[in-house]
Amino acid sequence: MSRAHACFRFLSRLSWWLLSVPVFIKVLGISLVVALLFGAITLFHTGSTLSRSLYGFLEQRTRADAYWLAASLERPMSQGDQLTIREKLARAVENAPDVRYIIVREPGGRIAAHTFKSGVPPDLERLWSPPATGGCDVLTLGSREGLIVEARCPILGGSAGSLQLGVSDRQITAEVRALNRSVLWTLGFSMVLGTALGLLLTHLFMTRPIYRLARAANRVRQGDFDARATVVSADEIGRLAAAFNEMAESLRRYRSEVEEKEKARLSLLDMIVQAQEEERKSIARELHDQVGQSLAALLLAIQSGIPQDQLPAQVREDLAAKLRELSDEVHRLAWGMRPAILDDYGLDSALSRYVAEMASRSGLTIDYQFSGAPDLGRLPSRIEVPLYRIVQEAITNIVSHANATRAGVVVLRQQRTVTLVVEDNGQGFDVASAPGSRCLGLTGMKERAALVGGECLIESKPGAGTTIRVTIPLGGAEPSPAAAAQPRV
Amino acid sequence: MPVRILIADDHAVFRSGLKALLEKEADFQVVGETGTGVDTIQAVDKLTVDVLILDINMPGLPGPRVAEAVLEKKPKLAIVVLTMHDDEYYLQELFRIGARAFVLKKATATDVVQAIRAAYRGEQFIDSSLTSRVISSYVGRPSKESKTGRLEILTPREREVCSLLAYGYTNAEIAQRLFISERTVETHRNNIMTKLNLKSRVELVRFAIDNGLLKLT
Repeated sequence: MSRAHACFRFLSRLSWWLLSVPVFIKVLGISLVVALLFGAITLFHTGSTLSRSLYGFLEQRTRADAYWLAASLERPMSQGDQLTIREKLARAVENAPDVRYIIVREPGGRIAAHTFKSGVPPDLERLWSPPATGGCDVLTLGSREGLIVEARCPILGGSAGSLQLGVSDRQITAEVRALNRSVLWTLGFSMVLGTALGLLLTHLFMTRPIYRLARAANRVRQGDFDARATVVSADEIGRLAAAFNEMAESLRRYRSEVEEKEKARLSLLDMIVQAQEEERKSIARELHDQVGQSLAALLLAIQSGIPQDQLPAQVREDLAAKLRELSDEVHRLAWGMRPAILDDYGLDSALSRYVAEMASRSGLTIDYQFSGAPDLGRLPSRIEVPLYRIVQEAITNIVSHANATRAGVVVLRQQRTVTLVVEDNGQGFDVASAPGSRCLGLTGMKERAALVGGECLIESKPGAGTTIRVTIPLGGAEPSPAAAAQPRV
Repeated sequence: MPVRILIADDHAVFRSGLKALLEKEADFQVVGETGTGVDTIQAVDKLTVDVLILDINMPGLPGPRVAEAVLEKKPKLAIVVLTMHDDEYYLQELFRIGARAFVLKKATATDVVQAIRAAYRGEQFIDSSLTSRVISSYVGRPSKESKTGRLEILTPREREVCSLLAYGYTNAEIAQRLFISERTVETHRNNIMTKLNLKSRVELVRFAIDNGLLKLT
């Protein structure tokens, strides 16, 4: 069973290999096969036709020769002139080298003379029979050297005897062989010529258009949707090329639609983020200026305004304490929304403050390092804000989910890039299957980075902590559709 | 001789509250109230003021600029800064400009009064809730001398990995760059941290900067 299976597999592999031969070779192969078939048929047919006609011709000629020879032997046979008979026979053989033998018989059948060196071969003798009709008979005999055409003629109507003239077909075979050879040569030559021509034509009209099409397809695969195949004809290949061009055109249109949509989405996202920041800023300010001030005023009033007897000291103390608490809460809220220190003093100060605050609030050890070449100024606000927000999000996540003991925030400020790394030694998580709420925060970080032309990479493994790395190129990069359209990690 | 006080704050209710509080002190006299930076500068010019209570978050001219302008005209003026912000950065800047006291708005009445008196006397005063923060910023970061190791104890490969980590590359990226597996990177990283006695990437970055493995251009 397995032998047959192996055989089958071998055969199918062989047939695959054969079919995978290039189209060019296939066309060549087909034309060669056709040429060979044509040649073989031609060869065979012309050979046999010529043969037939030559044999016919030979028979006719042999009969004629025998007739005339018989005629010339009438008198010597009647007279029994052996000498003349032998002379005539010898001369006939001399003049026609194809003559194999001549046998002259007396009317009874006894051999009067012949041209054989030794005696008449017994096979030949066996085949003899007196001519039936009054005219000459021709028959073909087979021999070791080929065919013999024999003409049998009566001499003087049979009353003086009969004659057998045997001629070999050597010339015929030589002629036919010569013809075959010449046909073969011609065939070979025309096959070579035809093959060369066929190669050229196939290349021009079949393989080259196909290659061009394949090249265009390759260019499209690599992302060049403007690539087109040249359509030179309306045949099958041309139709394929036309269909391909249409397909490339619709791909191009589709991609530019997608790019447009992505650009629109990014600008919308940018607007949303800006609006969000504006809102936070204004809420922070309101909280700070209005609510905070009012609380402070209240605090002052409590401490000084109300006379002692209307408000006992203990109550006053409690109220004051509560107001202070409230004031702190409001302050913290406002600061969490939009720390004024970020706008006034920059990212380094804001982050250092934020990290210190979060570290003390959560009990986590959070290291902070801001490294920058000293001659570089402050980062532009549109980059400081996203970085700050990303750190906020990252640290919030660490505090609430990571179960870590230590975290670190590093900012590397260089001339053309700024790099932010937030790392913790917590329990990590599976980035690919983050739950919806987590995912939103992570996506938010990536979007914020992408909106300023940067990139946010999140690396985490369960049990191995988390690293968030943001790189933002400086120099006014536009939000890139390509960066934001990367598949979500 | 009364201490002549000018209150500059854009919040009317707060101003009146503060005024009421201050007038309970026998030797304090509130000579004026202003609500914007520009008004404050003009008022200081026109009136005789010993102590200016300045809210640095008034609309218009920023607080620090107001303080500078005022001190240009009256260099001996005592400025008590009143603010909601408890960030020491504001502290630093305002003291640099020449303010004498820094008080939070949620402070107790006694603190405010104390601040005014101290400023009037020519001393400096910081709200008690800010003291610890000021001191910690003064003390600065703990120095990191020979607690961390030296560069020579790292192998060349470890130095490479250390430098890349300092630049912010993740384990996966380092593995790709150096054509080694992630596990190898993690091993190198652990070795580096152990050899150099580093506790976090931040400390690693500091080490890298100090030892020339990280060049900031």
